Amino acid sequence: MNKDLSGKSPHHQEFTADLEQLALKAVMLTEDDLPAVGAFLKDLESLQEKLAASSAPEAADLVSQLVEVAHRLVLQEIADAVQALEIISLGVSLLQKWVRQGGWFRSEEEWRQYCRLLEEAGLTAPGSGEAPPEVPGAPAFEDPELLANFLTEAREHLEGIETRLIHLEQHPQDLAAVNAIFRPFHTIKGVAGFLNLAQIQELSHEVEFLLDEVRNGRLPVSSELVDTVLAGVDLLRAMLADLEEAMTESRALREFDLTPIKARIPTLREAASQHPRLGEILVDQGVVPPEEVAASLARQEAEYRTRPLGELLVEEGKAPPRTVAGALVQQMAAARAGGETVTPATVKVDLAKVDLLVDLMGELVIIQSQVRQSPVIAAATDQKLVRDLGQMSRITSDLQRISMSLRMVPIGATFRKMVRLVRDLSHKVGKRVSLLLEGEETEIDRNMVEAIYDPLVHLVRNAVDHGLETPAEREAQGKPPEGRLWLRAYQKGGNIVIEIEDDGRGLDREAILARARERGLVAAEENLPSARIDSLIFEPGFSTARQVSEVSGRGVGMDVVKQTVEHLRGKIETFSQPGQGTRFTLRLPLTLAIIDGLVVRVGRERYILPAVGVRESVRPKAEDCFTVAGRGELLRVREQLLPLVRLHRLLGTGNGDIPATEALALVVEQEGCQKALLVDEILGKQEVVIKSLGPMFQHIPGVAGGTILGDGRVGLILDLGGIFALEQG
Amino acid sequence: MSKGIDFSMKVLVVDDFATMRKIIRNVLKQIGFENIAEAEDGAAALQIIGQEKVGLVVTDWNMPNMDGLELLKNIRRNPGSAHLPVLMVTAEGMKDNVLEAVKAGVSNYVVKPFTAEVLQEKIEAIFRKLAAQGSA
Repeated sequence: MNKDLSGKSPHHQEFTADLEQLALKAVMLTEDDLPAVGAFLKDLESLQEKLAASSAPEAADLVSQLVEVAHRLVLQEIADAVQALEIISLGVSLLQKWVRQGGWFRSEEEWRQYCRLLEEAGLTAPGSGEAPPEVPGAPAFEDPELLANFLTEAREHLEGIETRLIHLEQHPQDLAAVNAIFRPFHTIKGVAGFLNLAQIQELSHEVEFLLDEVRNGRLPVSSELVDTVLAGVDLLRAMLADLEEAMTESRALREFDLTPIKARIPTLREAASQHPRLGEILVDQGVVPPEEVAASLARQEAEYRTRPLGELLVEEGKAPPRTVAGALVQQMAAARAGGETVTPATVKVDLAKVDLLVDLMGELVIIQSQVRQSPVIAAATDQKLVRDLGQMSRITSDLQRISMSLRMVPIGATFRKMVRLVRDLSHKVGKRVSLLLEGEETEIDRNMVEAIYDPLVHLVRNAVDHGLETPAEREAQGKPPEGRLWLRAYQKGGNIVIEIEDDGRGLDREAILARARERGLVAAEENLPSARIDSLIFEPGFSTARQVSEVSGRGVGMDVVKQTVEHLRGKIETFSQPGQGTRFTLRLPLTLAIIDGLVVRVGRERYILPAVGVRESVRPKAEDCFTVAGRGELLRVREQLLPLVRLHRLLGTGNGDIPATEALALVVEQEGCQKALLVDEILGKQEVVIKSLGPMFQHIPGVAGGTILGDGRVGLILDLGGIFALEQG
Repeated sequence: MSKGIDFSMKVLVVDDFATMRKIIRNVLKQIGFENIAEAEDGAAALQIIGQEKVGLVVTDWNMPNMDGLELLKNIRRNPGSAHLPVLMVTAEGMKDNVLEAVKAGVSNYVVKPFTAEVLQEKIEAIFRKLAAQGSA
């Protein structure tokens, strides 16, 4: 019998009072008074808790049975509600007897009756006899307006879903995100039920069920899961499109094949069962004892699973954050591709430290090359010393490469921010756009990622707002109504190339030219090649949008985009075909810290030119040099006349009038415009670490920065854009 | 149509899905209610309840911002609305939630999809009970 509830202990008195209250409520209970049943249920459950804490298995069992009866009463799973109420009042009376007598006799009439009724209600084996769900005949709403409403709203709800899914794939622990994805399906299912859209209801039910499993922590977020949900989204969209068509053509709905998607669900569950749960991992590692995990899981349940288990364990001090993070990484690794691939372990490092490391590596490379170039070393004949120096040089460049890669991050995250942007914008301007991302894994300097974000946003906005046409315009031209927008990234040579391409209307050259003439950027009669016309959009203050739109504003910004890209020592080009689309190509250096430089001598000084801008070098011949009134000196390079820039004169470093034939001309290109720079000689090509000249000399036109050359002297890095500007001004 | 229900009372329909609100509004009209207000989530509903005299709330469970259960708890917490009848609309398969709602003091619940008759029965049950308590 029980130990602390019988007799005259304080517990006993409290318990007796509780039961008296309960008995009173039981008598007053009627089957249709849900609030009263609810209150009764609450009392029963608190009683259950108290009994669980004491050692009274008999009474605890009885109360558990009563809780079950009350649950079923609420859920209308008991056919005879009056009988259920009788079970409850009998049960409470037995409990009272148990407290008074310290137990009851199993032969007693009251007990036997209680058992009989329980059996009749199908409750002797709890958990069995689940009642089938209530399926009332749904009312037929032949209301076309309602159906049209449903279509619009269902589509609206589905629209953000890809972005959310992508987000979820990135943040599998974000339960709020799961809920946000769950909700549209849940809602669509509910409404479809009323509208007699059986297949839509069935499909959204399947997807909803899947997401519910995720929400309840029974299924992990995996790319297979995301794929399945996306497939569900596509199918649902197709069904909605069919519904729309069927309405206008007043035909019956098409029958869709749901078997493929339904077949994917059990596979997912099987895969899931192979993935270890977080709790299991931690128990296996011996970090948290199993009963502690169970307690935290119970708490998670009590909080309606609003928080992940890891968070609770950390909060309760059961596991250190680092261990939980490690276990999560392990879990995700197992979830990916059935545990075949392993996510590398990571550490977080202060970015400033990485920057410092990269800088120091640059210095090391330089000092190393200084040592190698020292006359003493160069004259060394010791074989071992020469070999060791060679080895040191290889190790240093490996080190440099690796330290640079520390700062590289995939561009995918930046691209994916555009998904949302495109969605919102296209919505606002009434266009349909599908965004295609390519090369998301391409790595780019972390500092650069931040710097290119704004230019990218601007270009994407322009593409959606001005580049792409409305669905009606597109259809009129025989294009699919949905415009396409590509965001691409790849590495080419020493550059990261980012492309923003649309299949829209292309640049309107007439409008651009007219505007440029109006602005006085181009002389009235001047004929320009189309590439030059296109590049006019980068002129400050230029805008061709006839209407100022809310989205991309007044067109200011293309010049800012160009400035930003050039500030990063990158280049922006545009390629456009009327009616076919426009492509913007951004070429950026791999890193901001190091450039491939061409070391040249100009008079007394040595300068570094960014190699990316240098097309070729030629030794001018006398017959190729011309002087044209009003256009200055020109040099003919392969039938093209290029302006000749005398760097000596421009930089004031020596004789500005040496004959061109005695010097070397470097053909350089900037913004699609070529010039020939006259230098004395090319001293070599080397990677140079760019150093700021400090705030005092930050904005000297024509100079991008400084570097320390192999022999320890400072060399200035020339900025082509600045040189061009200097030469023209 | 039915006895014991004052059809002139204001019924507040809470659901984030406009189509669903319209469906429920149609069913309520079929039953005989004329004065129907709508709110798209729990927070908006609370505001209406605070400002206007509402006789019955029909609320969805799963909504952004404030879900049906939170709304119900808020209604019960405020002395001004503690006795306001609340009918919860849930989807089948959310049985655990129903128990939560009942413990939190929901007046009744109805499972989607439902017919006008079922909804009417539930509403009648709520007011029959209220009338019985009032006269007792």
